[in-house]
Amino acid sequence: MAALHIIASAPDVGAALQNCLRVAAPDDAIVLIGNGVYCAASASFERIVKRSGGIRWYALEADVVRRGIGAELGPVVAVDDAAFVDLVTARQPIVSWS
Amino acid sequence: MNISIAVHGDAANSESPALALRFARAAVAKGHRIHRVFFYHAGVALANASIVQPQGEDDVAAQWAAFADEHHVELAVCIAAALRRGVLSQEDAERYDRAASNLKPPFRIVGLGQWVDAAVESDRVVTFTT
Amino acid sequence: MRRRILFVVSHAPRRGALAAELLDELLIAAAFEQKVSVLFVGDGTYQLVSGDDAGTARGYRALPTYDVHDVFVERAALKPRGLTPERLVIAARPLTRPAISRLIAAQDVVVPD
Repeated sequence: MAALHIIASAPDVGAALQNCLRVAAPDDAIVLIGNGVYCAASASFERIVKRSGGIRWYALEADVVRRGIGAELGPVVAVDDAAFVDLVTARQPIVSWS
Repeated sequence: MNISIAVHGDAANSESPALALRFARAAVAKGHRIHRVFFYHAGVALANASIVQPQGEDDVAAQWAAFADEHHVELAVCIAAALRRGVLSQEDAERYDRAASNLKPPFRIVGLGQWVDAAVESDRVVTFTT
Repeated sequence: MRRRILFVVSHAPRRGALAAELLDELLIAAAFEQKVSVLFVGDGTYQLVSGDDAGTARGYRALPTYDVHDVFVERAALKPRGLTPERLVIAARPLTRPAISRLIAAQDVVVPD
């Protein structure tokens, strides 16, 4: 089964996203939650997504809206909390990065 | 599904407990069962009844307690991590000769083996990091 | 039932109890006969380097004593940090990216540091 990676921290805090991307499989999914949604707002994010191959990108809509960065989401699919739960039940294992 | 949740961050320094609660609520709303919520590392602070939340700010610990009471979800706090951070049950306050206990109901002090049990008994374990 | 539990260490040694607490979780899972493995990625590889402050590394050095033998390290993380497998305090199998992806895919539970 393909994995779900959870990124909850912004790029300035540490290497969560970079570490995740170096080990994620092509059919894995990544969901940005909490301050992790700031990863989608960075200038280099579009390039990051292009280079990530078949990885599916998601972000928690409530966290995006609260931080006012909705316009910059690009290829990331905004999901509600219920859809986040569905991602968790559809994938295994769940890998959290900090 | 049976889902267990690990909370590694505390409310004062992390969004971890708030994010975990949102997830837990959504999971229950979808008909899943939360087997156990395990508070470890800084997350044990959620069980600290001595914490006074400023008025006007979300009290995530109180929200967790209310959620647990409503849905009969176990809020388990690792004893070693709790002692290290000054969260003491009545029993531990007496054992270690401390002035007071401060374990907030319905949080329960448990051994680390309860985390292993959660891993064994659950279909999914989701960790909300520091 | 035995679960496959992978501990992923991605941070350089930090002050405080975090590393010791992760090791406690790892050891208790092993004591409960779960299929435990540990993977060091990125700066986490520094936790296997012993200097004067040998605290964390000393803990990991003892893993075989607790019957934990599945210790892996991200191969690509070593050279940029001036590390080789021989410099690490414990025998850790260097893994390529696809091998790490496969390792993760095979797990029931992954624990972050």
